[in-house]
Amino acid sequence: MVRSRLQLGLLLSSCLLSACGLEGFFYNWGAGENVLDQTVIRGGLDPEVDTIEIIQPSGDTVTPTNLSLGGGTYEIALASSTYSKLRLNGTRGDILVSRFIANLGPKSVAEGLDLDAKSMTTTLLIEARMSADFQNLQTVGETELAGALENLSALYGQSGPVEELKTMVERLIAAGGSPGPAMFQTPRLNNVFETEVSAINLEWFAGVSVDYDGDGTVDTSTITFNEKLAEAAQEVGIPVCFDPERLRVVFEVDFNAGRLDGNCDTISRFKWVRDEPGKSMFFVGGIHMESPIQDPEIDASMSNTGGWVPNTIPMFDDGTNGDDKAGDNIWTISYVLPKGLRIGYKYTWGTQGALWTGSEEWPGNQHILEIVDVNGDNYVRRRDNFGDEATNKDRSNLKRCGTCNGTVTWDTDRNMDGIPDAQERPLDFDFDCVLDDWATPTGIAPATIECAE
Amino acid sequence: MYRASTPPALVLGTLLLLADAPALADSANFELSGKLYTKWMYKNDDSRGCLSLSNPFWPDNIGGSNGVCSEFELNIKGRVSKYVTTGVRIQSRWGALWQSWWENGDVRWDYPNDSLFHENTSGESMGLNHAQYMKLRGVFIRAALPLPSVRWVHFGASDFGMWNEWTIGKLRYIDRDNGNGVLFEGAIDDNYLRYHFGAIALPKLFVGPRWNTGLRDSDPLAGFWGQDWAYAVKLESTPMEDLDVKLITTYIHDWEADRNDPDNTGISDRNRGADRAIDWEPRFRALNATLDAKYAPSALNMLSVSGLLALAHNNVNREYATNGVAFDQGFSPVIFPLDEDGNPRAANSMAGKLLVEFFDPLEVGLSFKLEYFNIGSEFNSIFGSRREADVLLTDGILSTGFVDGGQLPTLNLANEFVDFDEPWFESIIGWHGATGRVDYENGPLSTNLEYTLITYNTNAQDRDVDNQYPDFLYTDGFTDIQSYTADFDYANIFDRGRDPRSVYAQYKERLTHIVVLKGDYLLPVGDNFVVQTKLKYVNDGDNRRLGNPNDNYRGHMYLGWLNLKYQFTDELQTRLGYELQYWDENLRSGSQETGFYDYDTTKHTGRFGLTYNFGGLTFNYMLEYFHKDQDRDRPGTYDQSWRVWRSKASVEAAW
Repeated sequence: MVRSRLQLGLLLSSCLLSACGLEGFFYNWGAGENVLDQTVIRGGLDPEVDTIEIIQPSGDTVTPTNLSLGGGTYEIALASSTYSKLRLNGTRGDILVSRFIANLGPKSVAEGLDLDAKSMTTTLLIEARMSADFQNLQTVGETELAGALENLSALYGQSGPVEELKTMVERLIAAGGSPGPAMFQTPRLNNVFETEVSAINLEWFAGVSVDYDGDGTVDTSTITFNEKLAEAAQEVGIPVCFDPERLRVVFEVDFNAGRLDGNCDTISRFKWVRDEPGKSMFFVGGIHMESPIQDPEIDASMSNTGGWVPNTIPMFDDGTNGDDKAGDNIWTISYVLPKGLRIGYKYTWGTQGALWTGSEEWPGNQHILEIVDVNGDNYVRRRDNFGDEATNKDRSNLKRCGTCNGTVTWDTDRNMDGIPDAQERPLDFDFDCVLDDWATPTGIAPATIECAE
Repeated sequence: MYRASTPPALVLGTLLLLADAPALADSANFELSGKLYTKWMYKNDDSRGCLSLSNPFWPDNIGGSNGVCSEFELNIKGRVSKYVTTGVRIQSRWGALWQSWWENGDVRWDYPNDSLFHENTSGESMGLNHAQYMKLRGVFIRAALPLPSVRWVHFGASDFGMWNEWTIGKLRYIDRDNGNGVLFEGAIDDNYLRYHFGAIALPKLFVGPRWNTGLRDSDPLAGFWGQDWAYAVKLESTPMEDLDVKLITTYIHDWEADRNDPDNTGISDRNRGADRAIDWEPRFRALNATLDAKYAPSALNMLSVSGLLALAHNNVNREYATNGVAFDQGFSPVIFPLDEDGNPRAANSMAGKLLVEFFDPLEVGLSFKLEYFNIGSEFNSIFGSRREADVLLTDGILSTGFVDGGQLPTLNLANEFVDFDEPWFESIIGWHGATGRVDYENGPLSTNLEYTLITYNTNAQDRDVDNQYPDFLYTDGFTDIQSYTADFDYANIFDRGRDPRSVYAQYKERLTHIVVLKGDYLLPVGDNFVVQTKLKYVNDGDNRRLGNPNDNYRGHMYLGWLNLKYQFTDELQTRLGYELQYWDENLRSGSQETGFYDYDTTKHTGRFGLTYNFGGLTFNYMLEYFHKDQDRDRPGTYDQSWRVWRSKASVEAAW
């Protein structure tokens, strides 16, 4: 009897607990109330805005637990946590006033974080500078951002490009207030501080009448603003910490007619490739069997999943993804690869998913490259001419020289320039078969890491 | 040790013998049954489908009234031992039309429109529910465990018929396999204490605010529904031969993850209190209990007295449940009441009914029944019966001659997924009144006369139907259940009257009288000719806003129904009937601002039906003509007519 009751008790217990959802009651038994601790941001508003968006470096927005606006002030309450490198975007119609916040702690209250022309100027300057350094909020460290914001803050109130830019921003904001596209957008400078994308939204600018430079006439161009932003951005210092283990590797292949190979002979680019419409350039490669580093993920990123699969990884000739110039028939692709990695690769002129035949530079063999930053610019830039069988092609290499045997290894240097043929090399700017000088890529960031605190 | 002492050759030989042995075709522990059902539907409109009224919320592509559909079910019952039985039902999905050849269940992406279920010629356009896939349903194991007092432990599917309409109701037919739980049945003493215990997995749909238990798509304040349960206890006793007493208590608990838990609000930093464990908070809790008793003294076998007392407690945590009254245009299966200070409070309400029956006390065929009922204004059995049950003696307001009806104490009625000939159900929340009925049976004649008076505990002035009490948007006028199905009119596009769930209104001062006379008479012409009739009068009045004589509703419903049934042979029965309804409704619809306006409605319905049984096959056919004219005085409206022909036929065979 006792045994059967014990049996009943155990069975009932297990049934009632595990099969009937009662664990929740036990687990939550006596659990204290979780009060929503908050991290609070407060500041002034000039001009007034209708809403404020809180954006993380990833681009995701943070939903505030409370947001109050009005009377020239705002207060944002976030669920208590550590926040890093937030951006606030206050908007009303076409007006945009933004602010970077380097960090916020749990249950902290941050006061005096005004959203105004000054914070907008700072935001534009940080963005411009990051673009010139090929950085973004994900690569810039929290401490570096805080330092840059502090340094910039000290430049206001003094004569100089930063204060002058702020005055222009004030005038632009004063011209806003109507429905329409936002007045500002993310600016982009290249690494010599030339404007590639203006901070002023041209669509908005075309619809307003504003004298932002204060010369008494309505401005019809953003050039003055762009130049002032570029000038002021040079006064912003955001430390960059390069990745000690990896490098940005930029592959470029010149598919123009008449290019010369390693023997200075004109390349017949359609020797092995069928000249058909609708084709574009693809990259394919994989880690070399002699590489000291082996990584299946890198292999897969080059379309080597047990074997090279051609015509799956498109290269770019549209001025994006590190491509210098759109439409120049020099195609580009880049990777971030470990230093010392050795790879084989090849270019194909084909259509997406096409087979090797009729698309590869040559049958069999491969280009080889060791990831070494020869010129110390934190990039590996390798520009090849399509179909060149006389440079870094590993077998049946056609380079003519006294000691050449058709084979290129990792330390072969048959053009006697002191750089192994299987490493990065200077560019031939005038296509005369003489390598002229190094050129650092301008369209893509080097490999960086967040700087140590 | 076996391996040490058994000769290898013997082991090998045994294995070979086993390998050669034929598989035992032992089906003694299997019980198989199957059923094939096919339904034809016709209506003189352009809808396509095999169900008169389908899903009201997600407009699916099953509902419609023109097509032929078939379904098959296979029931497998296993007798594992004398103590353990199992059951499984494998059923094909309803919805594929005979006319829809090749539909394979795939959904072809409609490039470039990116829309699903875009009909095309591919045979891959309508989804799996049009491909007659077989679905595993009704899985259970039932065991008579050798435990003190326990008769059965049931794991898995059940229709929950062991509780009652006021607590956890028997699941409607279409849901009969969808509920699962762990159920204990036993008795401490067969007379004095029998019991059922149950833990029931809450359906993620319908039992809770916004008809769900935490589906983020439906309620952005919630999002956790995998650990929501109902618990139920039933204790039954027969303390004396003439008295049965039953106590049922059910508790519903809908959990949500605590959105303020540190693990849900930021980084996993121990200093913030984060511990990689998330507390839960209740979203909705409900307690329903009934105590009912039936006394039928054997010494006075003409008398039966039965009564029921019910309690309902609904507690909505508004931090985790969106207020459907405020945000869903007054559509909500729960109320969101506030206390005098404007703070949220739980809804608590009682209900009771008492039925006294005298069975032929004069021994002339006359029986008398008297029922008193009083349902609290905030009573709600959220998990109670939603349809296919009836808790009151009265014929009610909704039912007609052709279409039966029932009364249930919930806001959670489910008058959907039905055909035009199926019963309708109305909510009795707030009903307070009595029914008196006289039954007379004498040879070929069977008849009863009913009078019911209903006052309403929900009568109130300036009730808050914007934030607290759901009015289901349409609060006025007799509900036309035939137009409901004729027009698929859940959204009330064609002015079909009050929503059957609408028990609250901003201004309500209502009183209803119902008189019903029903009769069945076996004609002395042949042996198989039965005449059925029903006469019904409903006088429904609502003075609405007190002090405003211009909003006083007066509705008069007159119904006459005659049906002839003739059993030609043992296999064939035919039916022919006619129903006339006239609704005279003064100041039926409008608003305090615009005024109220009169409606006149005349409805003629004719039906022919036959049933044929032969050798395990059953064939049913019904043809209906529904003719309605609705005259509306309201400015800006127009008069409406319905001339609807519709039919439904079915053939089924079970084996």
